[in-house]
Amino acid sequence: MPVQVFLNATLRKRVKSYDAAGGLSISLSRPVTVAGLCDMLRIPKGEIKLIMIDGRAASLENELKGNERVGLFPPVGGG
Amino acid sequence: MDKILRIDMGAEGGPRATETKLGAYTGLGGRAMTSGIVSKEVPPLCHPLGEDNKLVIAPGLLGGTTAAMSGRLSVGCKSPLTGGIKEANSGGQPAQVLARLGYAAIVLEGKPKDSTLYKILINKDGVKITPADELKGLGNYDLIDKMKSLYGDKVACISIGPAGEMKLSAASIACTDIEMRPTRHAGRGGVGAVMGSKGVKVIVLDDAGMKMRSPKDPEKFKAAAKQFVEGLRKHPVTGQGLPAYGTNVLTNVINEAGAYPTHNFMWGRFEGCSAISGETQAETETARGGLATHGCHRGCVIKCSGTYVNKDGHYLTKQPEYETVWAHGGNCGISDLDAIAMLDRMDDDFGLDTIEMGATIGVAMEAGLAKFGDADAAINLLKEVGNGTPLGRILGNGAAFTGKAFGVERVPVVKGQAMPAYDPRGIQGMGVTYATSTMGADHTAGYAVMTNIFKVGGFVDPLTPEGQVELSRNLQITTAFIDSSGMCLFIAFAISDQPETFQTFLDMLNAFYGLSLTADGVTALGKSVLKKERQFNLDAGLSAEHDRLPAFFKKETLPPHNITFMVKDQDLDTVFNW
Ligand code: SF4
Repeated sequence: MPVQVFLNATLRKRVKSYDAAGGLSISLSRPVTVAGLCDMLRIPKGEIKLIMIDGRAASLENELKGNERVGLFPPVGGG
Repeated sequence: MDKILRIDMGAEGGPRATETKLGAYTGLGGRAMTSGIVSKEVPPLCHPLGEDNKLVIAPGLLGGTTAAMSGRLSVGCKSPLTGGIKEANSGGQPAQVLARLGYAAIVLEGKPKDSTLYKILINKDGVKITPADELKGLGNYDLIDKMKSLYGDKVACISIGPAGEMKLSAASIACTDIEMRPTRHAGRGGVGAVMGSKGVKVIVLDDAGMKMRSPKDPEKFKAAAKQFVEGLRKHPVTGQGLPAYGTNVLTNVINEAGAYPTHNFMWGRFEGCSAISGETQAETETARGGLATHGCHRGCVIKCSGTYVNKDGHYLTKQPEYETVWAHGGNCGISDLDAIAMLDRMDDDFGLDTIEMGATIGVAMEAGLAKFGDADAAINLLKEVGNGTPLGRILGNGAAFTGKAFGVERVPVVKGQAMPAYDPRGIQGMGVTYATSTMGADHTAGYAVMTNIFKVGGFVDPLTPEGQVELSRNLQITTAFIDSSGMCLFIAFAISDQPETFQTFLDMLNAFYGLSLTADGVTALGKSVLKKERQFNLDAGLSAEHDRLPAFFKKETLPPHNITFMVKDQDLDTVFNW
């Protein structure tokens, strides 16, 4: 099963014609870290501050096996 | 800012204004001032709409200075919504103008002898209070247009709409923005009802002929103020994120975290959130010729706001905040930005708290008064409030009142005040703040989301109870101080992550007042404000049992994480043990 990746705020500019409602669907042939995923998508890792895997806080080193929902965010705040 | 203006609305022969020295309130500003006066002068058991309650309006310590971000206004009283003490905070122009006019606070007191509605004009020549029954029933937009035609567009106004006149518990107090529109509100806790009970429709503030306030040490102040701005610009949230997308960037963040209260706190994710996200909102505004980056008052350098225009490119409202987009949007299953913007406009016009009204409509939908997702029905319900129909008056008294009227169990309130846009099961630190804040459920009182989700000032896992009490405690203390300084709370992102920016914040205060305040001093001041507020609430009959979330948060699990609120009651009771 593919990994579903949601890019947010400025990160969307990094992927051409990104579909905000559906996100990206990425098929993995083998497990990959979030850092590896960023390389595949050519998103500079320095621009990412928050990573969520299935709604939980994660880091660049976390491994994705497939079937996960990944959210990537630059630094954000509000309230 | 060395005097207090007291207006006795119930004086023999009509309202009477007197000026008093600061006396015991010297050195206080913003929330420290409003809570200081309320806790000392208002009997905790008084009726919130009666003659003994007082409405206190105060700029912060740095109000009226050249310091960036210093234009926040505190409005305090005993709250008709919570029955406890209230400080509602607003942006807009009035705080700066009021401070430059030399007032550290305006206090409206007493009870009018009849139903006459008054207008108050304050300028360099003094105070003029005149009957203004011709303004009765006006929405804030029409009212402010009238004031503009009378006094020009350089003044600032503090006003109520029909909701305040009807003394509804969700009534807000409007403050005009840079364009002199009534878009910034001291929203929470029914402060508008208290202004209505004093018979005051509008306060017009004109600082023509007055100067910027001058610091004790101008050179040091100037240098610190400059560094402070640099610190805000440097931090990615205050320098880039907030200006570009505004607070509504949070829709996607909180939704992704599974803590986005959907359909009256049923689920933690909303399928329609992409259509109402900050990204979509900014795109829509820019494409239609609105503005995605705009400040709510002069001197704001973060500029988290914007201008929302309709499909034809005409002004509709200011850029709705995340809280508003959530309350009227996902919480009610509505994913139509134009409808949400219309609801925001109506709230501002009637003078209603957007959070309370969104939560109320969510409860009404749960009760079956309308279907979740039906934007037209939501607009019609809100119209009922503006029109003051019996149904409208039920809704206008908030989520708790509406839940009672219609027999709904799932009512997301603490101390009678509706919860904002973070489910306390998905962000447990927020649950601690909601439960224990002196204000009732209030996100700004101790914004645990910062550390639970944004990883600002460290990280505490939002899905476990561990560490949340301490997190909320520290945030509540710091916030009480920031709210007293007159600074916009959003400086917290930069001052939490960048010690040098925190220091320049203190340097500004020290240079301005000739103080030598340290981080410990900040903590002590924050604690002293909370202590007064807690005591007032205790004396008003709010005890530990009121420092709790509604029972359903402990019983019903929230998808997708399927968890309940897990912080124990006895731990909640330790928040104020320091
Ligand atoms: S950052 Fe936003 S809320 Fe704060 S002062 Fe600026 S515009 Fe107002």
